[in-house]
Amino acid sequence: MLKRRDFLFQSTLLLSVPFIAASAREYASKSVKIYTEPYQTMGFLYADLFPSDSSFSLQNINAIGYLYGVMHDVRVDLETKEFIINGATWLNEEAADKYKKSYIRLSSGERQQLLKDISMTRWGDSWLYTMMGYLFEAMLSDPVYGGNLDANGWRWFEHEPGFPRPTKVLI
Amino acid sequence: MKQYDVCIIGSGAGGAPVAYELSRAGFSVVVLEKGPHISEKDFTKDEIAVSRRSLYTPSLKDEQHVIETYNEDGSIERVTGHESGWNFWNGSMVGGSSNLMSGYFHRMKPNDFRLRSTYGEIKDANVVDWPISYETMEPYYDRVEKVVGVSGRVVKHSFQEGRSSKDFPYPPTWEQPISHWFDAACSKLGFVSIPTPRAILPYDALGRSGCSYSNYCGSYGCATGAKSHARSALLDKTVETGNCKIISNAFVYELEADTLVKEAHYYDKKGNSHSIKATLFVVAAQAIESSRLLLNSKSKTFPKGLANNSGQVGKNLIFSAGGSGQGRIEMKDLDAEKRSGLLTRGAFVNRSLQDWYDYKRDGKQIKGGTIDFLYQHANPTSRALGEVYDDEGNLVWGKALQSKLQHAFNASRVFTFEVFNDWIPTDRCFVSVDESVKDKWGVPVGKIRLHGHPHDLEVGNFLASKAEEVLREMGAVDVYSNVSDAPPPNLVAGGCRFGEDPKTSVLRPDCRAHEVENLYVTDASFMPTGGSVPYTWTIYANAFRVADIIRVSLKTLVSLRDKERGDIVQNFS
Repeated sequence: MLKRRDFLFQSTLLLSVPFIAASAREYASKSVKIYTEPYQTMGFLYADLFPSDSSFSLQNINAIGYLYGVMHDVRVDLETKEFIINGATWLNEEAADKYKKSYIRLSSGERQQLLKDISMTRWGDSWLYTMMGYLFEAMLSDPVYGGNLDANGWRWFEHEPGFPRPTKVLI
Repeated sequence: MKQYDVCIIGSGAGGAPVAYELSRAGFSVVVLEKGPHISEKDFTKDEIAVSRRSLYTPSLKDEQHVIETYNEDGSIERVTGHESGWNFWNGSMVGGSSNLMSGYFHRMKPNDFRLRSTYGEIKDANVVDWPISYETMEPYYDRVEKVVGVSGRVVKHSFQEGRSSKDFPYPPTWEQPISHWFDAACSKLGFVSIPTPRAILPYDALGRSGCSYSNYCGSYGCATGAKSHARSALLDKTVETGNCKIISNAFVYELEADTLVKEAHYYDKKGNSHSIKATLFVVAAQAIESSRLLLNSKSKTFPKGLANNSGQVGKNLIFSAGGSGQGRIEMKDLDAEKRSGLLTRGAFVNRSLQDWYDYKRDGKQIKGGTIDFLYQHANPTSRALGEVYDDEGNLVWGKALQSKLQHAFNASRVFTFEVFNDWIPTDRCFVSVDESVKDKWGVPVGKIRLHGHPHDLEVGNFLASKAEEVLREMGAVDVYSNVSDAPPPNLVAGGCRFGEDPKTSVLRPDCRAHEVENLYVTDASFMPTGGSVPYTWTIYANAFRVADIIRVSLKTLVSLRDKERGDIVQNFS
């Protein structure tokens, strides 16, 4: 299975995407239905990649709402959007192969092991890197994009933004 | 249709000085710029738009290049920009990519103008001397300092080039505390630390505001006008003369010519075609695109492309060779004062080394280069992404990633360097057009064949090892460098080299095409070799030089034309 996915990833013979890129004045959504796929899987993935504790919380950066914005961003190419969706599908296929359950039904230990396994494949490494990129965007971009609520991400890392800051979404 | 005296294609560092000088001399000038007009009020420090989504460059789906590289067995690997993500655009807007430069300004050295006669031939390379000397260019470097605005401080060192002004017209910008630690480390190692000249005004001058030290400079547009880019430094003033019109969103796809260029044809934003007539045409669309435009401008007289009966257009494409490296300065190794110094935001490092601009190896004199030092870019998303792999190259996540990020952002700072050395010109690196791939207007795209000469890597690695020495002396850890033959798309030149011989060059020493009397090329395309410094200062200087030459010849041309018209009117009446 992994070899097939690497082949698909390499060949970019990817599955169709349910989203159509559109102009996004409000970049992120504040009300993504996180129990719909792929956002449900993504929500668990993000929590595994960047667990919340007393100082970090993914809700405080609207990570999934921001990802919804990425999927509608005309400047993100269709291939990347397809890859994001397909990665979530493949992750669930891997979970089903190994544990006969979907990713979100796995125990925390099983999810961690699965992430380790896929990170050793070409597609898995690339997909996790891509997902981390958009997670960091949600965390560290200007709050005008709808992530990084109240500049929480910047505060976590004591990051000082550049000035003038954007007052509107330019993409 | 109005007939302009001069039509300039491209509004960056190669086009703007020509527009500035000729419109001030009273000639009617039109500048056709492919990108939009964006000004200070539009520029913000928006990492998503600028760095993550490449707002200032075209979508690769609409406009791309075809890129060819050599496999080890000599066969050619071909990819398109869209499928590979390989982006050779540098900033389409009025003022060009100079809007987005970091503004490291170094002059080329006298030996850069006579590379072949000083250092000899290199196997499988097309190294030549320039047809002009440093002495010819010097007054124009000086003019750029004063008119465009360069800040810095002259210090004595072995490769300090001759100057007609004692020092820079503006003092250096506000500097980081680490710059002084760098000076101390260099002094201990016996190296000469040079304050890097910057195309940035430290205070209000030349009708522009001084630097606001926003901590986000390179890759970003300047919100104050302190950065000496072509629009704020020259074009805004050019428009004030009333003699210059800038048409933005104008993509020039063909120069129509018989023996002379008659018209420039361009598409506007909506895809409608327009034409401009002028007495003289100046191409400055940045190296790859300038060659592409000439090659796409075929006619009966020029079946292989404008000014290309010699077959030289697009040949000898060069980039800046070298690479980059870094080391991490750990807070825990510093006392309280230095810790606070390390956290200083906004100020510039402004330090370079040129001790090995040339050096000896096995008794032979070798051309070396420049090393610029700086902090890692402030972009937080990119910095975070730089932390997601461990030393073995495995992805990390969870608590391990969080603690890596905390360390990167709060407990250390990455100090970096960039190496600039000559990308030796060869027959294997050039631009052509690919008739099978068209852009959104249906125009064949530029095809870039890439090849880095092994000599470039040798020199780059030598310079990087010297930079690493300095970083270690400063107490940096995790020091490493990466020198490769990957071309930096923002440091590109050649394709229309100038020279005396029309068989081996496209342009005459005055940057006029050998084959076309009323065509000049004034971006970095003219450079037969690039020196071991970033190109922008030399592009500006050369464009001022050519503007002086054009001013004289245009006076003659325009008076002849006016006389001709007067005679016609007289005969008619």
